[in-house]
Amino acid sequence: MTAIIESKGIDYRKLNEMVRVLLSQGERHIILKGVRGQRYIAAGLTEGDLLLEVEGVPGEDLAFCLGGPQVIVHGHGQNAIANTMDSGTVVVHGMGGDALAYGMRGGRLFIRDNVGYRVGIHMKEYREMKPTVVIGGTAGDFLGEYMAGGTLIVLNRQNEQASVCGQAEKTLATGIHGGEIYIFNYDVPAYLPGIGARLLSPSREDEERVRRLTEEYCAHFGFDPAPFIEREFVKIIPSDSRPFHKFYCFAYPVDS
Amino acid sequence: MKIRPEQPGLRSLYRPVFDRALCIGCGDCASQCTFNEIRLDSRKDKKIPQATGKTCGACQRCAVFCPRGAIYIEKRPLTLHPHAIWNEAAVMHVHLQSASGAVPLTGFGAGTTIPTYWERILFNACQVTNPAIDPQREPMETITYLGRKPASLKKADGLKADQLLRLSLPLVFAPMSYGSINLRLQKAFAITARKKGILWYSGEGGLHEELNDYSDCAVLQIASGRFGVDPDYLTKARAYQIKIGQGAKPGIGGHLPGEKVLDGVSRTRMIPIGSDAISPAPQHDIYSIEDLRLLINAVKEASGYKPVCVKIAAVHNVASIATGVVHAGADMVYLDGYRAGTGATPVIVRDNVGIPTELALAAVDQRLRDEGIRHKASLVVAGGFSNSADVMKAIALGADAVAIGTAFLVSCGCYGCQRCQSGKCAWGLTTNDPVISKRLEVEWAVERLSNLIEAWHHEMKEVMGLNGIYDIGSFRGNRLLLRGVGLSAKELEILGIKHAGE
Repeated sequence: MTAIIESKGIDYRKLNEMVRVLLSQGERHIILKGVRGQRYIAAGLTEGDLLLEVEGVPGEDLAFCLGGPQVIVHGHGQNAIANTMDSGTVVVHGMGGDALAYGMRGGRLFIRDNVGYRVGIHMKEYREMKPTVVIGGTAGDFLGEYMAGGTLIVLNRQNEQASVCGQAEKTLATGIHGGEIYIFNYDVPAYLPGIGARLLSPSREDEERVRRLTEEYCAHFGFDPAPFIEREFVKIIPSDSRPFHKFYCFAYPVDS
Repeated sequence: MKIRPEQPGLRSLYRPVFDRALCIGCGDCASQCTFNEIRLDSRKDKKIPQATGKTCGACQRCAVFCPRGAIYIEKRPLTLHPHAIWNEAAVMHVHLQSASGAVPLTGFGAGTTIPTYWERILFNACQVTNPAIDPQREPMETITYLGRKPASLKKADGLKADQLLRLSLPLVFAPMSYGSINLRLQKAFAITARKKGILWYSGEGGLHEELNDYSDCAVLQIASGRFGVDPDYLTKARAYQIKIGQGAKPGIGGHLPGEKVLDGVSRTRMIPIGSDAISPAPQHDIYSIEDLRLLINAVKEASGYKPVCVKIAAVHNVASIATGVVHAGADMVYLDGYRAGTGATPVIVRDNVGIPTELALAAVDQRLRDEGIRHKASLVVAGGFSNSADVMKAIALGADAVAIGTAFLVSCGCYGCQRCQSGKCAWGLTTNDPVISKRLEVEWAVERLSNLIEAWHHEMKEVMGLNGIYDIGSFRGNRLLLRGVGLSAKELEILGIKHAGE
């Protein structure tokens, strides 16, 4: 069974409540049609077998603290998608805004096209939970800032040769202390990576993992993976997992 | 960073003094000292304690636990040429930084000579024409409700009374996260909060599974690191607190070093063992009041519309910031002032940044009233409350409730040595060392905390009674009850009180 909600003109609070009512009635495939900027869609939902499809443009904080469901957006997304997301899958057939995947701990986020600034800030991981963000196009400044875990991939599918992962000096992965970022087919300028970030070539295992995730991305959007995979990419990781441990001392003696 | 003892800068400020006539040579003092200040010289069957003079911080643990009362702590004399600027603190600070090249970290709240306004404010009392009330014989009401309230009795605006947070008296436990304090202490806070009908705040370290049973009287925090925040976390609490700023370190973030991220902290914060837990100063998804509104409403949507509190530090434009926070939809504003305590903050930030709690509180309360939005959010203030009189002065200045942190640590043994961040707290409070943290017995701590709350509750009722007021609601924001002493016209204007004699 598929439940359809005509969302146009409905306030977000009411719309999200309607979704929760359908869930309580056992619906597991819900389509929101005519979405026009309603915020917080799927916030905090934990039904692992739910497929929620959004037609139109959802508002900010889509899939905030999502815990299991699959959310597919047939349109562009806005800011703060997958904020503090725990598990599940979010697929956006279009662009994404700023501050995506903030503090994301698990699950997968696939964005078909470009994304804005501050994507993947403070992504983290815990035990078997490793968040993955795959961006089909390019990303803005501050990508992966304070990153503490997980995998961020910028596929650069149009093979841009400028502004692929930000433009401003020392904003890429600044303060990264865990996790990994992959940038495709772009000679990352030396001035881009911030304090604590290190550029290197991927290992064979990295290539294998990135290939699988790229194939998954392509499967979501109906692309042929071959031209994606044959391109080169670089890896960014923390230069030191404890970049700031020499920064402080004790104001009063504590050790003899 | 370690500093070699032979370098200037590591000199300890205090030392234990042993009364040799009383000492029985049991050696307890040395085992109580977690900082290795006391060395034992064996002589026949006796252990003779000696001060090493390197690490004593006047935590008083050895003195309190000496079975013969044979120890006291003294300030180590340091004779310097008298100078208005180059006093001991200044000279030693430069030595320390010259030895380490690092930023000195400390715990506790600022102890500077910046004016404390509470001590310059006095209460009124009833005389002749208005009768005082004897709180021991007449009923006194201190129940306080926190949260968004309707503008008038007629216009409830769909608000429900059960969304308000009920406090049996206007006190709450200030947020102290598991990690900065150990689980036993946090558990004692939670048990006491339930027992006394108040709330405890988790801080940003998540909710340990052992405290799940106390989540109904907990305000769980969501900070920039999002530690421990998952869909389950967002359904459990009585309310949520979004941390924007902190009074002890406005403008800077938190950093729990990897050494402290052991199994329990790792599970509760949901980060790998041994990894640094960094909370950036800003929440990088919040660059505006509109962004803050997004997070407030997201938390409300995901939590089934639990009340949301926003914690901000008292800084120069705090009244405007608080107004924005209320407009963004916060049900409570938690205002953390200049003297607020912490487990770790750079000395330079603690002592030089922010504004006094008293001025910030008066300014915020007044601005919210001027804008006609005071009813939309409750005001919880924190930062340097060491007694119940100051709590009542804050209530009269406009606070709905006061958050207590340091006083509750002191209640559980702390003497203020300010080395919380070292992980060696001899009282077993701010350490997760599996052995040292066992020094704190939960039942004992609950009894001490309950006693302190009980004693303050009596005093608070006394202050209400002697003013002829028997409902805390008539005390709140009643600035006519207060008079300032020795304050300038500007200070009185900001505090909104008259000078004594007026």
